[in-house]
Amino acid sequence: MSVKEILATKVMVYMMGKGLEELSKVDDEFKEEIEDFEAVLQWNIGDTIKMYIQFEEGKVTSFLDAEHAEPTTTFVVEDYAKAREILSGEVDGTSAYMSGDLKMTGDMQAGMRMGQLAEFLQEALSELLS
Amino acid sequence: MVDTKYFAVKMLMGAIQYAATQLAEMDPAFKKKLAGIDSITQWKVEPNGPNSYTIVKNSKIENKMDAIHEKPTFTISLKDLSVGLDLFQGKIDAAKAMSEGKITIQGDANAAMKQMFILEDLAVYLEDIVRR
Repeated sequence: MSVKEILATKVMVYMMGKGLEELSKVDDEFKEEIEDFEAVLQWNIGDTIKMYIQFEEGKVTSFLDAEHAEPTTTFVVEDYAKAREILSGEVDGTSAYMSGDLKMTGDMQAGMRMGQLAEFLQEALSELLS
Repeated sequence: MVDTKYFAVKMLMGAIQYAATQLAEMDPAFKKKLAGIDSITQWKVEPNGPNSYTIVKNSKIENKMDAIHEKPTFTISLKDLSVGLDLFQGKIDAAKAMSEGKITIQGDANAAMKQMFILEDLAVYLEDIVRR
């Protein structure tokens, strides 16, 4: 896999993790949304990118290039280009799951919450995604 | 309400710096170019941030978001959030923006020039994301 493919995808993974972290500090609506959400969401892309996001007591912390021992839910995307489409919101998470591009193991309910939270992030990133 | 412009600039600033760190680990040619550089770059967006600094040392890059270094080698100040958004998305040429006063460099300008290649090299890798 090319450095470019990996790096371009890592940047989007960064934006998801750090973006949700930032939202939990500055967006009151988002804070309310995650108030009682306790979960560790692990993302694994290809065979090189691993990142997890921890939701705990209304706080979000993302861990880049890291793997959690017992995540609540794990998302797996094999293909880097597909992963970028999903992370940018170009392809909706539910349809990616239906088509098998996005695999989910563990707690499905917590996994679905990720989709809702991603909508907040897309709104906040409207300057970049429009 | 989220200040979407501030949010976007902060995310781009952090993402680009993270990418630089990663590129230094993954690309031997890039790592080689970093050899001999020992600097601290302070990034500031006027008037209220986001701010961060980058340390280049021993062919490695480290970043600290939301931080001001006491003794940076040089400071790159961007006039406002719009300049930040344009610069990080590759929509404006850095040299032109400097001549127009949108970007100012304080401190060791030579050191700044010597490591301009970092942003240029990164642009190639990030065009999918930052050139929209």
